[in-house]
Amino acid sequence: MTPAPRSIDSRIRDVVQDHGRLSADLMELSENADLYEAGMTSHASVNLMLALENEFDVEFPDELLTRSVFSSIESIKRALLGLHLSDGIRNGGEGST
Amino acid sequence: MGGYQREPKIEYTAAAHLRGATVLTSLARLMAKLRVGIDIIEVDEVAESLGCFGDGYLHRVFSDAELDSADDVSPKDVAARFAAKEAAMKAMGDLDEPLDWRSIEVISTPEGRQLRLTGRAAESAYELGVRRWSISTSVTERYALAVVLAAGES
Repeated sequence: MTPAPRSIDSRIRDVVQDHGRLSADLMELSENADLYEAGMTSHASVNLMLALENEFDVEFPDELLTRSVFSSIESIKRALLGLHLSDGIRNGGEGST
Repeated sequence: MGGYQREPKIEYTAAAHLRGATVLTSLARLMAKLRVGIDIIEVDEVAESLGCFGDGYLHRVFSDAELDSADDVSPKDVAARFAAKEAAMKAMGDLDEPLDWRSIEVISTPEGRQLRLTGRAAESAYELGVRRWSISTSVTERYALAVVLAAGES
C-alpha cells in the first residue's frame, strides 16, 4: 500500500526543523510565526533556501530572495506555490490552490 | 636635570572656541554620514553548510570574482566573508527587497579584504548615500566576526 503523500506544510516544517536552527520549538509555532524571532539567523535562512530547493526541486528566483519570503511557514508555502511546482507536489498538499 | 615640567598654559580665546566649534560641526557631519554593521557567525555552522550543500552553497552565496580572489574556501574563511556580507546588509538597514548575496562581494586584495557592491545592492547603497566601505574581520576557531563601516560623501 502506497503511503499517503505528505502535505507541503509538513515537508516545509521538516526542512525548517533540519535547517532553520530555531531556538524555539517548531511544533509550537503557528504557520505565521516569525522564524527570525524564533531564532533563525540570516545564514540559517540561506541553508533553509537551499534545502527547500532540494526538497521541492525548484530554484528560488532573485525576486524571491527577500527576508520576508523566508520569515514564516506560510510565506514559504506561498512562495513555493507561486513557483511552477509539479502536479505531484501540488497534489500532495492541502495547500493546493 | 629632568624634572617636572609645567603643562603649557592653554589660552582660551574666541579663536580657539571657533576652531573647536568647527571641529565639532565637522565631526557631527561625518557621523551623520556613517553607517555601521556588525555580524558574528559560528564557524561550525558554515562547515555544516559546506558539508551539506557543497558547491551549491558556495555558488549561491559568493560570486565568481569572490571565489577567484579567495585564498581558500575553508569554513573559517567562508564564515568571515559571510559575516562581512551580513554586516554590510545591516549597515544598509532593514531592507526587505530582493538582494542577491553575490551582489555584496568580499574581494581579497593585496591590501586586505574589500567590499564591492554590484547590481541592486549597489543601487540601494547609492540611494542611501553610501560612497565608501571599510571592513574588518576577525576569526577564531569557533567564531567569525565582521564590522563594516559605510561612509557618505565627504
